[in-house]
Amino acid sequence: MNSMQYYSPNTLDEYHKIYSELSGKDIIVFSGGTDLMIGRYDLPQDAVIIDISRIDELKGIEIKEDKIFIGSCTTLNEILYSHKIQNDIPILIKAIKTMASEQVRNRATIGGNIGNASPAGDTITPLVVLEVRVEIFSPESNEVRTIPIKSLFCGPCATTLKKGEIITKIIIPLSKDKDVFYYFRKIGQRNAMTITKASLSAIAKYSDGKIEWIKLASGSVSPVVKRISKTEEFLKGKVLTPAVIDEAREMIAKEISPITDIRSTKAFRLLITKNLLGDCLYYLIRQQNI
Amino acid sequence: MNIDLTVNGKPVSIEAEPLDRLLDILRDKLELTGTKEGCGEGECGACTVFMNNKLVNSCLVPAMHLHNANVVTIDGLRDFDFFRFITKAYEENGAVQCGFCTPGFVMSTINLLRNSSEKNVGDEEIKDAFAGNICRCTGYDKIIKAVRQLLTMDIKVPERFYE
Repeated sequence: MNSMQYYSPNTLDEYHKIYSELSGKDIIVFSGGTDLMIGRYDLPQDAVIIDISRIDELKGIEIKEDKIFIGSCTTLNEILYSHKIQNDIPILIKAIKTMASEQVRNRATIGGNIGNASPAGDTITPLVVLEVRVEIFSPESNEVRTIPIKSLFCGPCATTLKKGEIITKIIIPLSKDKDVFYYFRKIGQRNAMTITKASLSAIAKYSDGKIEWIKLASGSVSPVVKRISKTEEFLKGKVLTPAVIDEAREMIAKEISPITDIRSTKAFRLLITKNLLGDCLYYLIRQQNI
Repeated sequence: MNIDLTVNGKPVSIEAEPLDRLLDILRDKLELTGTKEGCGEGECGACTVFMNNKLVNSCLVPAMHLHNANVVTIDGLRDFDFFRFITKAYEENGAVQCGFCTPGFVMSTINLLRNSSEKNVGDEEIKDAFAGNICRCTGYDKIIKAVRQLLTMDIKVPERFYE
């Protein structure tokens, strides 16, 4: 491998300066590197690496008023072992527990998992149902802006980020509702260290025997992770009878567009997604009856 | 680029490209060949080491992240007392067959032992602790037996190494 040019800014301000001086060169933003290191021979050799993992502003977990801020370079294990996240965002803990391994989670960052924009990214479905916002730094304008996470993705492994823009924070609104039900489950080739064939994240509020509201997102079954809004709307205000659950299972199958690829088939993904929704709703009933 | 780091307690200075792998630096430059390369993709865990006291895949760590890092490999842990207990438990339970994955499994074992006592570790937790290690010989059962045995012993594993 030829000598690659590389920079390691300590602040966003330094990142801005470095970016400005590179005037138009291809850059590779590098953080934990658990994906980039595997493909390192395929990186354009004239690209410049900017390693953002030393920028302190991009690390750590903070609660301010009714929101939790997670720095984009916070590792998955830092989130997994955070009492704040364990207490307030259990769905994210559930998802991260199923991801990779201790070794990888010590390196991989949440910003990387989102920025990679894989339909199989396992932090994405919980963050989509949590309706988080993503803070983005633009080196062109030297400013930050926030967007809803659903506006970040525009295709498999494609984001709406412009050149040089980096994700700086994930902003999770803390729910005012008490006793919110949550569900995350993924299906892969094996239990450990597996890439998702299909997954489902759900949060819901159940009261007086009815679903007050439910938010659903499926992983690995559409070009981008998005909310399953027709099924959500259908379930709203419903009593969960077997007939309602069966109808919801058919609805979710119409809302997703899985493909056959190296990891699974369209038919299997459709079936699994229906089953995941059934599992989720029956689990919700069991939870309410305890 | 020139990088100064500590490996197994010794300060070393190396010349490397930003994306050179820690694994290659350990094996080729420092001749610490206890750490193995299996998949080279962070799946198999044969290259597991401690970096700044955290378990990592050395095949996924680029040289540019190693400035002032404290790296501890299996070669640097052999002389600790606890290592003999691990060796013995692996031997007694037939947890080593071809042995290629063993250095990685031992590193994850050390990480598990220092973070837990028997009370809070069931078989599920043991399996989780080894999610990042693949063994193609033993079927894992013998390794889990060895680890279960180790967890019942009162083995002192330091919280940190070479700091």
